[in-house]
This record gives sequence, structure tokens and C-alpha cells, in this order.
Amino acid sequence: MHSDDTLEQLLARVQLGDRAAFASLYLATNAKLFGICLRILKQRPLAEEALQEVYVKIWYKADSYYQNRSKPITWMARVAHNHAIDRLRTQKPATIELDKVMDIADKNPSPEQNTIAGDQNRKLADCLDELNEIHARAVKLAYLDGYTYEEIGANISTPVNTVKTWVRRSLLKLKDCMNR
Amino acid sequence: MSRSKNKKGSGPPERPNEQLASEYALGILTNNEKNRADALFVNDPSFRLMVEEWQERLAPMLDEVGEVPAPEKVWSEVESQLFGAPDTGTSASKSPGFWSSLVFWRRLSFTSIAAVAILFSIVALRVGEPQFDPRGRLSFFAALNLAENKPTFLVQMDMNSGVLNIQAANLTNVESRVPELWLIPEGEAPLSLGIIFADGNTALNITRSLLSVFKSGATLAISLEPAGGAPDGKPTGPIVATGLLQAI
Repeated sequence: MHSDDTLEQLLARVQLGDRAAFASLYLATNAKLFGICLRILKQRPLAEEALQEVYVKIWYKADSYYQNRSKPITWMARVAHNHAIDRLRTQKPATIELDKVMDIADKNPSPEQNTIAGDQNRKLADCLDELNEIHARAVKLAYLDGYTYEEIGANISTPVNTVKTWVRRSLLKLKDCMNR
Repeated sequence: MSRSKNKKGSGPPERPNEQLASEYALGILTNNEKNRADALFVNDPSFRLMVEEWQERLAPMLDEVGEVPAPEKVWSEVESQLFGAPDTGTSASKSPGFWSSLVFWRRLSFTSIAAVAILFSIVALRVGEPQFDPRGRLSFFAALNLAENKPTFLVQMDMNSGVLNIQAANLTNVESRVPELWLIPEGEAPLSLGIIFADGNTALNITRSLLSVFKSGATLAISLEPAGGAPDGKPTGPIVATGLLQAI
């Protein structure tokens, strides 16, 4: 797809230290990555700091993109997700109101070049649908909202050990399902 | 205790630490388990590979998260962290931030118009903090997009010199008409900034009275007009591109 080629080309130029390419890459992707950081960190100042650090990482780590075969946006989204989770885990235990901010970032769909799921991995959505609904919710609370087992347990009024079992089994089921 | 290793059921057996890798990629680990996984990720290539597989597997979930444009200051902080702080000092009539921004946009306009046009509908980015300098160094940028993902016009406004540069996309099907650039202050009627070339670069000298109307949030638009420009100072032809004016 043409637009993917473009992000790919930009990343290739970033790897060579091309600042203009980096600025273009930022323009094209900051809303996607900020959405991810904000969803996990829940607070704009934290998310802004995290996003800044994410792009610094992307600048320095652009060459490592070529070690995997992800779409550029997938690689960048992964960097953002990992970093936001790291930031979240190094924060003090949150005094964050976990539920209230969940909907912030759900309004604007991604433009095509910022879509991670390709035909081959659109399956994840189908496989999540195959899970028990509450199990899928637990997985999403963990991945999209950065919830811990304890927080998920509180959110869905379920003992922590039960949540652990659900999430671990769900991950295995997802893998099986996607390997089908 | 028969269920401690591999879960029963279908699928390939778990590899050592695969559960930890999957939980790590999910982001659910805390404290000691997270620390242990962090260490494995750094030191154990096979663990790292598993984590990356899991990250790749889970990443499509992120499509569910809506986009939220980051505030402009994030970019200036990225830029200053990587490339040196913009000069916020007193005398700086040529602060590096400002000039590198101009250089950047110039390079951008020559090297990646096509990419920009494809990537954005309307681009608006302030590079560096706005400079509220009494001498009026505040300058503006705008990217104007055409319908149907056609190439983009990039506009740079230098308030010092009063010169507006517009790098035009190759505008086709202009026929006998000429593109005219308009500035539309919020809630007001369009003001003509002048006729521009249908391709290549046009520099327009902006009159002093019009300079005061350049504000962030104003709209720039291009319409196609009869030769010589819109006869009554109001756009008559089709609007072919619009974009928002942003301070840089």
C-alpha cells in the first residue's frame, strides 16, 4: 500500500539521521501514538512526557525497526505501548480514576496508514470475539488501559487469582486461534 | 498439580517462560515479575523474541484506540531534546529553533511534498514555541490540501519580511483559470492575498494592513478564478484547497 511505503521510506530516512523525515513521521503518527499513551497513562501531562520520550526512542532506535517485519505503524505503536506501560509501572500506585478517562480516545478512527491490523492479523479481533466476553474484557483492560491483575479484579469484581487464570488462558487461546 | 506447566487443550506446547513473555507483552506484570521480565528481555534473546512475537500478536488491539493529536509543545520538546534547545534568550533574532524550523520546512517542501500530501489531509504543526517578540518574529505555516488526496500546497509566512511563500502542487485542470490565495479570518469574509502560480513557488508580498490579520486559526484557501483574479475581491470559482494557519 502506498501510504505504508511512505511511512517505511520516512523511517528509512530517519535511520540515516534525516530530521525532516523525522518531522514528517511525527506529523503522520503523533495522534496515533498519543492516543495510546493517553489511554494507558490517563493523564495528559504524563502522556505528553511519555510521547516525547517515545519519539526520542524512535529516533535512536529507527535502525532496529528493520530487524522485524512489522508495519512501521505497528512497530511505533509497540514502542509507544511498551514505554507507556513502563512509565505507568514506575509511577506511584495510581490515584487515577480508572474508569472516567477510558472513553477519551475512542472517537477518532485511525486513517488507513495508521491502522495496524492487516488482512493477515485482522484475526486478532475475531479471536478476541471467540473468548468469553468477560475474559476478553480483562485482556483489553490489561493491554489497552494498563491495568494490573488487581485493578482488573476490582474493575470486574472478580478475585485476582481468577483473573490471572482467565487472562493467561485467554492469551493461550488467542495464540492458538491466530495460528489456526 | 498436573496443570502447572502446559495448559491442557489444543495448540503447541508452551515454551519456557512463554507465559511470562505473553504477560510481559500484555503489560500486566508489576514489581518483581516485571523486573524479572525486564532482565530476561535484555539478557535472553529467545525470551526477547517471544516477547516480540507476542507484542506483534497483540498490537492490532491498539487500532481500537482513537487518535488524539498531541499538543504542539511535545514536538518542540522532542526537537530540542534531540537537536539542541531552541534559543529562548533575549536577543535572539535568529534563534536556532526558529531558523532550523524554517530550514526544516523548506527542506520538507522540496523533499517530501508528495509524502506529506498523502499522509495528511490538513497539516498543522507549530515547530517551536510561538515567539511573542515585539519585533514580530511570529511566523506562520500552513499546508493546504486539495480534494481527493491530491498534492498539497505548503505556505510559509515570514512576518519579519512580510513575504509569504507558497510552494504549489502541480495544479492540473486549471484551464484558463488562475489560482488565487485567500486568507479567511475566523468568522470573517475571505481576503485576497494574491494570484499564485499553478505550480512551483510563488512569493507574495503581504501588505501591512493584511499582516495584522495573520493569526493562528485563520484559514487559507485557494480558489480558481478568471485570469487577473476574482473581479470583485470575492472568490467566485471553486475552492480547491484549504488549510489552517499555524504559528511556528
